[in-house]
Amino acid sequence: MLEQDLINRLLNGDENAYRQVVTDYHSSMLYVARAIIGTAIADEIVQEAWISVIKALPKFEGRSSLKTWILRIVSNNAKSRLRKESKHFSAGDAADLETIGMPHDRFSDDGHWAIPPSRWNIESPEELLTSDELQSCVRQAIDKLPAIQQTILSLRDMDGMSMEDICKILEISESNSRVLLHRARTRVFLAIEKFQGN
Amino acid sequence: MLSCKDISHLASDHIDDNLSFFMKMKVKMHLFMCHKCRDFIRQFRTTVNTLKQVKPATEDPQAVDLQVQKLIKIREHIKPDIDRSQ
Repeated sequence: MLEQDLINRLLNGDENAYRQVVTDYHSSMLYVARAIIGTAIADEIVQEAWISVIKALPKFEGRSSLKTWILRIVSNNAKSRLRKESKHFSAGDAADLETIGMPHDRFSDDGHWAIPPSRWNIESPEELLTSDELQSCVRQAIDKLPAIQQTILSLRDMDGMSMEDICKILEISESNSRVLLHRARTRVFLAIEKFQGN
Repeated sequence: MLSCKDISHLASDHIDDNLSFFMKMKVKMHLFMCHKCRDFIRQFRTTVNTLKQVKPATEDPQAVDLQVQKLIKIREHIKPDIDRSQ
């Protein structure tokens, strides 16, 4: 109901409604575009997507959330640009040689911990986020992730989107996206662990 | 029997409740016996819960305003086409 109200306001050209969707969706749109086509022309793709969104909004049927629908438009635009340039989007193979999560040297040959998790001084998310330094450590860890991992982590953990929707938007398999999500989370875990150890 | 390394690979699926019943039991069995993995899973869960509370980098208000004005102009420009198609 709230979303329908937002859509009606967008259709009527309500400036505040536009401000709301730009504030809530624009950065996710950029994440999706960057993951598919790279940083250089991501902004251009997002601007094209906004035009498509405004044009197609009267025909939006509400079969998905507005956000999922908008992100799929970004994804389709980015992929059709790739096709024009005779390139293909690849999210990477989940079974490639990159470690699935923790670095190999954390474990001995028999699979037991060689370097076990260190003790954390701060263990609750609320406390972790009250430390500005730790918060910027988490943000830096996210910024350093490969674009596709950054996108999945941001949509899943920060925006709370379902894996099903993420897979539809990026057109990647659920098993692949789960591996990428786990890698991303592990890198953030390692950054927090290192910070807590210092 | 799962190893600690296996547990580290399964951490996200365990936290997201995305394991089969059989695998869930194997993970629980390992965690029951291994305090290092219990520590790891607790800290990994904290990481995920922290991420859930991290707000996306705030858009610069001026950049948002600029984008909004751009969209309003685009809408005005294509409004006749939209009206015709309805």
